Amino acid sequence: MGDRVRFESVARGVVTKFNYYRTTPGRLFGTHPALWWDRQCTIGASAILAAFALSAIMWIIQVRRVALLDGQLTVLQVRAAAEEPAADRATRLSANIARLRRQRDELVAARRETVEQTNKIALIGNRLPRQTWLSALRAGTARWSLTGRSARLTELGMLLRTLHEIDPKSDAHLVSATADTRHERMVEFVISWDRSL
Amino acid sequence: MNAAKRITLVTGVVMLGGYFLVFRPAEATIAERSLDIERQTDLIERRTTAARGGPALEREQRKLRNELTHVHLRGDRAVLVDGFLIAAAAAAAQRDIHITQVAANASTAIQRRATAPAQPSLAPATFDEVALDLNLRGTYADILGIVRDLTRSTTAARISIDSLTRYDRRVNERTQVTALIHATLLREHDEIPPVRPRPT
Repeated sequence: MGDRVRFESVARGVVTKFNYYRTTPGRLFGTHPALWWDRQCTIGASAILAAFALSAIMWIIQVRRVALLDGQLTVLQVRAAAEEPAADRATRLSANIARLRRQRDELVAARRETVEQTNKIALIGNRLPRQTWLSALRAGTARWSLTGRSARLTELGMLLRTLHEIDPKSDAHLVSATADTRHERMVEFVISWDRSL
Repeated sequence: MNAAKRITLVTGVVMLGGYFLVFRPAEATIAERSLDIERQTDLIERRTTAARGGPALEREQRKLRNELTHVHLRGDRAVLVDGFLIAAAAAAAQRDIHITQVAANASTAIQRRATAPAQPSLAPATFDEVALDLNLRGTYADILGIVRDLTRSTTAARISIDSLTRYDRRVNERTQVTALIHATLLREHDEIPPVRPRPT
């Protein structure tokens, strides 16, 4: 009969038939139904319960952590919302200041450019050689053109040097020098003053 | 498979289930919240810093506005041109200069924009520009003087001398020159109210 069924029970006729199909826990854990709740099974069940309990504890801890973080986040969102109007105002002010600065800088630059240009024209006029006169001056963005008359050709060289002294980065060169048909011994000249160097 | 192995298997399945169904999703949520908290903290810090600088910014704005009070940057284009012409006429009368011609010249502004250093395409021009050409006649010194006067006038303008040419006739025994002057009047852009598209 083996160790699973008592011989006396079979001999007395108490046991007449055997159920050879094992119950679900028995099938699961490889134990006979009658002896299902044995030591091994206890350990197994305990292990599974422990696993479930561990998972449950883990779940509680995680839920608690998430709740804590949610709380922190809500507090921060409220603070951020409270700071928003002042920050927006500061942003608008910054943008306005940048615009005003651009305007001021552009105006200052425009004035400086005009003063520089008029100063240069005045300097040319002031430092013209004694017997040299300008009849026209064209002030382009990068290149100026000076037209005039001079009594002596050598004075044109002096004028070219003067232009270089006024703006050392520039390049002044004689475009043409022709005898004036109306006045003897006078030279009509055209000088190009390249200021883009 | 014996009982011990099956127990181990079931326990393992429960543990793995717990890990994948409880621990992992919760950790992902926690990581997400932590990132949100970090972002919010940064945002608060930035906003607090910006808000703290408010009074200093207000002072700066007031200072800049004071610096720009002497020029009229707001107003209609016609008003701007009118103001400039009044200033030019007054300066010309003071210096005995004749304004012989005034003409609107759009090409000056276009030319200036073409020669200006490249700006980022999205950066708007600081000013709305109105270009004018003025022909003047007077002495050399007076022409330079009026240009400087107009630069200092209440109408903001970018002024440059395009050409100076000797005038053949002498007036009051003084040599006269004719000058072509480019004046680019500057004004603030008009505020354009945004038009909301009709919902479709």
